[in-house]
Amino acid sequence: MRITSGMSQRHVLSDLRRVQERLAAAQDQVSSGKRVEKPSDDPLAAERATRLRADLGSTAAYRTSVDDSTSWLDATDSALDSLTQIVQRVRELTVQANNAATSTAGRQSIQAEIDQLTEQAKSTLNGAYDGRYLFSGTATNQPPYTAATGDAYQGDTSAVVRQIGPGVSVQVNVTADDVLGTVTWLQSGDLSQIDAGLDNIVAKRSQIGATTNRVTAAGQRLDDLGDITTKLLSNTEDADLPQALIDLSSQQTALQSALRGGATLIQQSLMDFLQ
Amino acid sequence: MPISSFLGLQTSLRGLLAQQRSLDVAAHNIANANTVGYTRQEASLGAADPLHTGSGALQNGSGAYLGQGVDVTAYRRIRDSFLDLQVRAQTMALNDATTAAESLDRVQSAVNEPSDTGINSLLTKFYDAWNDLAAHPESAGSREAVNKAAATLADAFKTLATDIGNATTDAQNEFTALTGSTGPIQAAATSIAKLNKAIDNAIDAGQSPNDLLDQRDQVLDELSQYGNVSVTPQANGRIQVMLGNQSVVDDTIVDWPASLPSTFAAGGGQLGALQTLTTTTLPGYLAALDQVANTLATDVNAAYGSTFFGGTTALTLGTGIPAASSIAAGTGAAGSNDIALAVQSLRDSSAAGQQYAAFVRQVGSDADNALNAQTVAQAAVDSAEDRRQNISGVSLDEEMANMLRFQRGYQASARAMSSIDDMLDTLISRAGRVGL
Repeated sequence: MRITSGMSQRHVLSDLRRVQERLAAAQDQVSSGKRVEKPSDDPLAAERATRLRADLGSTAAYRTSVDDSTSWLDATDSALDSLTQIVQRVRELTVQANNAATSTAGRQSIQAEIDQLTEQAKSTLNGAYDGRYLFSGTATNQPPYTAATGDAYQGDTSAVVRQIGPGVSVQVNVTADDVLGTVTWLQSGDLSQIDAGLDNIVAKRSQIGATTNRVTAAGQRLDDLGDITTKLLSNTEDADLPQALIDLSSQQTALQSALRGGATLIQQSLMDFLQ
Repeated sequence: MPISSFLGLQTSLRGLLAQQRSLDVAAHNIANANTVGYTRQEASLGAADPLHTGSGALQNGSGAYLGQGVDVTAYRRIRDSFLDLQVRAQTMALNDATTAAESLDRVQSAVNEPSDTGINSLLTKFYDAWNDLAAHPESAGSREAVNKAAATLADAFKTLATDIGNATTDAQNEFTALTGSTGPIQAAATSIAKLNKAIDNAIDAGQSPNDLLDQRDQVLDELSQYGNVSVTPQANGRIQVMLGNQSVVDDTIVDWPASLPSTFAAGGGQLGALQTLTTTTLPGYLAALDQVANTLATDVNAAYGSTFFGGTTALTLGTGIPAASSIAAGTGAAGSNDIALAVQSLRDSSAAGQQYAAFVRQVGSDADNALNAQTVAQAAVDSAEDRRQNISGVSLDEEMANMLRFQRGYQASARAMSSIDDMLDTLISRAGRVGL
């Protein structure tokens, strides 16, 4: 082949350009840590990364729901705990009042204490978490009981629902209506009614406990899922750093040799040797 | 017939002149070593017409042909027109791929995926805002956040659609600029027509217009970056040139119109790529993005129970609600969140996210294909150009060697001339002086 001077120059230039392109790509990978920076770097990986990022967002959102549900359930549980203690105290007082040895004055003071405890029970259920009434159903801006309306439940019977996974919803609330009902049984002096009421509260509490367990388990699953998705995303779009560094240094070497080779090649001509 | 004593002088003179012409051509080659499109030339030397002596020149009484030295028979242009076709075809492919790659790279920069700021993550943030509203259905702040996230998402759709629209407009403008009456194709057409005329005249006058042919081939090379150039030879060295399905020059007449017919197809090259971009690729992206926007708006509106997103295309997408405070989280009391839950669960059930991911892959694979095609075409252009340079390029070393050859030839012819001169000197000055 006839090699003309223009040819060797063009060869040197196009070789340099190619090596520099590869060097720039290797540098990009090392500095960004990403293998897929633009969709054209790997269209399939870009599509997968796009989906995985959405999945990761979804997992994080459900994780937020889980945390929120857990706080709601914890607040409910602690309110029900206080309520249980109050009702137990009412039961003790009722037993005491039902005792024949108790004097009338004693019964009156017991009656007064039970009245106080009843108000306390209602105000416990009026407790709010994060500015919302926990026991009013979805009427969260409305306390279950007000002074003006006495024992009448002011909320609704709707469920407060949180979504803790794709298509997975849990009811996180119990209504004051479910827990206390008509309220009057606290003051009835009828032990069997009080026992039934206490059983109901305990049952609701264990229902809340079961939901808490379910939500916690869902949270752990979401954490695991998040870890796996993050790992998948990293595998999909992150650069293999050792590989990228080796690429970088080998491209640097290639560039140096291309430059050196080019310099020697361009200098030489027959003119250097003819006198 | 006697032979002139001065025949040898004439023969040597021809040698001197032929070597001189060859040296001139070498100088011309060296001078044009770096001229783009230059074809190396060569003075073809051939033995001059011999002198026929009548009968009696030889001992047996017959005549003979006596050599009279050398003549330049032609100034040859060393070029292979088949390689021109290859270079032009590859130049066309390279410009096709480069134009597509540049435009698609711009689109994929606008798409900006995978990232934390593209539509994909704004979509996630939009659903996150609804999820937050589902957890706090009473909150005005959460409503505000939903409204803001929806507006940001709609803006992102609008921006991307506008970017794709701008890329389309720019491609159309570029096409118009290239094909218009002040564009490079019109200029090329004019210069080919002029060169056709000049070449015609030169050939009429019996000359070989090597440098004019080089210029014309160079113009054809340049023309081939815009589209598929086909050349039909005509009488007296003139050519007819077609670009795609449109005649550019016929004979010495410029055929390239001020406004192209709608049926014009460049058949590749920069114009072909621009045509494909403006009629197929970019409108296709816009349609795909519109589909994502439409799916999103339809699904969200269905889950919301009334109009949340107004508009069904990427450009027109916008929140259709009057104020953040009027966003409904649920159908029941203040704490009800059934609507917010329904909207947020679209993140798993709506096809919009998948459609968008497929759109990203489409843009990516188109850009990837164009970039690969560019690399391949660049290598093909390099190799075709190499083969052409292999034949037509000026090698300085070769020219140096030729110079030595012609210089020596000149010296030898001059030496022959002076030796004939010596001989004649003997005859003219010394004859008749025997014994002096």
